[in-house]
Amino acid sequence: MIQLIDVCKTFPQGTSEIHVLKKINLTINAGEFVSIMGRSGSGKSTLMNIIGCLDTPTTGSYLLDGKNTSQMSEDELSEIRNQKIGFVFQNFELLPKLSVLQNAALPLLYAGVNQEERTTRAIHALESVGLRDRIDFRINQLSGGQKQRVAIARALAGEANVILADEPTGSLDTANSHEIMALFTKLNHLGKTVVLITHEQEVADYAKRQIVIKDGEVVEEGTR
Amino acid sequence: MTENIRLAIQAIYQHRLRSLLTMLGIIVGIASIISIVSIINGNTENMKKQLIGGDTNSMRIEYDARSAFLAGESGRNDRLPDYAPQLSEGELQKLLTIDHAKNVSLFYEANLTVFQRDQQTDTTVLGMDRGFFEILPHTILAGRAMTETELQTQKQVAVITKELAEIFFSYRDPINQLIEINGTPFRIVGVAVSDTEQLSGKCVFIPRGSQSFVEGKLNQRPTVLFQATNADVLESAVVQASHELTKSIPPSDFVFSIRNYDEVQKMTDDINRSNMILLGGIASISLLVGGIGVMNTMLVSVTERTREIGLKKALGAKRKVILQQFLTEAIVLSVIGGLIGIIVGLLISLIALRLLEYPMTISLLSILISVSFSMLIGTIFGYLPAYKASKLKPIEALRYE
Repeated sequence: MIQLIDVCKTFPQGTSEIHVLKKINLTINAGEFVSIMGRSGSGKSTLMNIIGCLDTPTTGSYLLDGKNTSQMSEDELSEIRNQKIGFVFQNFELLPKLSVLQNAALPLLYAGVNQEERTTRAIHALESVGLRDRIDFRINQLSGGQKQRVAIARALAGEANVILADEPTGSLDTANSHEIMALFTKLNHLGKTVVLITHEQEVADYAKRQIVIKDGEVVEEGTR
Repeated sequence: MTENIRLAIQAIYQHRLRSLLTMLGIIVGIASIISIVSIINGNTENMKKQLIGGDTNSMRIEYDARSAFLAGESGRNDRLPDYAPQLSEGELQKLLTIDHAKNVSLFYEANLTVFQRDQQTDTTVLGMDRGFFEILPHTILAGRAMTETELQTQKQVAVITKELAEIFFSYRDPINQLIEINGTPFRIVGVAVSDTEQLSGKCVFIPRGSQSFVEGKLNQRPTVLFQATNADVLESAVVQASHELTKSIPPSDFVFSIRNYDEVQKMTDDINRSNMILLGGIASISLLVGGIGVMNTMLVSVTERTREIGLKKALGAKRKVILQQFLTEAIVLSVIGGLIGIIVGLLISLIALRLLEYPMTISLLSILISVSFSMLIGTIFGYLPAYKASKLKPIEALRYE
């Protein structure tokens, strides 16, 4: 469960400060499929960073499965991210030097899982995104849609319960976008919490619950 | 860890040219250390051999009066003992049973005034045997060498060196002329010149048996000239010979020591040490430069891979993991450079030592030091870039273009 209580985030700019997030209160329950929409500069990326434990709130608290992350050290945050969050980025963020399998297994490496189990679990994750036959491919041998599926497999391999996708279709064509969104829907049905950050209404429409952010505040919330 | 090393090798291989250029500093540094150490050691060994064994692989073992004195053997009025043990032919022959012994010769030596008619000069007089000229070869310029019979008996014959002949007989033929040593006349049978540098100047050679004629004046201290089969074994064989001599002469407090041995040892060690200090300075500078190269490349590498670092951190890599990754890469880079440097250095050493005709002295120690040194360079100069990488914030790193 994701709980944001009075979360504020300010960044210093010269002598003044900009308030990027202003007292955000938000609860996302386990198993939800939520989209967070907003224009650029609305604060949605900052919100995503906080939900993804990549950043901490300036004031207020963020509880992930009941644990307050606000005061955690960098290494503690790394551990939380490793165990609880699966990231999917707009431009995939795969390591071109590694194979498909190695890319998918990366979070397990940092979790200290042994080689054999890493391989088994990564293959399993790749299977669930339909890339079982591509495990030994290089990243640059894949299409955009396939790359994003590797990234999703990587998020799944770590057995994170929350999948945090930041503009996951931003670099994909329409056909691939639908395929990826269908995959998220399927994962949500399998019990994963999916949090989607996007500025496209069409993409946001896949989610069961839509949150709109403007100027650092939640301005609209609705369920479908 | 093996994973890290594999990744590091991969990363280094991906930027082959850059890695090679970076390693060049270390390659040159290590190669120069290895080759210079080998050459200096070779030079020292060579020098030591020439100084102690000359070109004849021989050394003198002398009755050491001072050591004998210190060992309790005192002479008249508490002076150094002025007598010496008599060495029998049997004791001498025993030395030939030492490993690598080639030849031995016993001689007595004195500095005496030698007369020829109305001329006189201070000369080294050597009472010697057959082995002497075998070990220290001489060329007979005029007349003949002493015969076996002359050498074994007390014949009053002498061979003089060219240098002495020039003083006494500038315009005359010295053969069959008489010289007087300590009141005893000796007939000159030949004029010789030394083929080696170990013996030179004015010298009179007389049969060892005739020493009794000049006894009293002739320094009675026996000297054993010991020749080994080759220069490499000379040192150990001659040490063994001196022990053999010391213990074979009763009472055991007569002491035989190897002439010049300690001095030569000390001198060559001193030269070696000062060379090494000089070398150490030069080598550390080149390794410092190499290390800075490693640091520079690693900093570039960290910057280039900012996004990769950001992603890894986002996926849960802790600071230590990132630090280890880059530190490993720096160390692997340095060690590969070090290993190439060792190979290059060994090749240079082999070629240089062969060309200079120095003995092969490739020190394992310098190789071990080189390897650990390159690891140390990698660690020291790789730490800053690795630390920088580990401190990167994942969001900023992921945003980096």
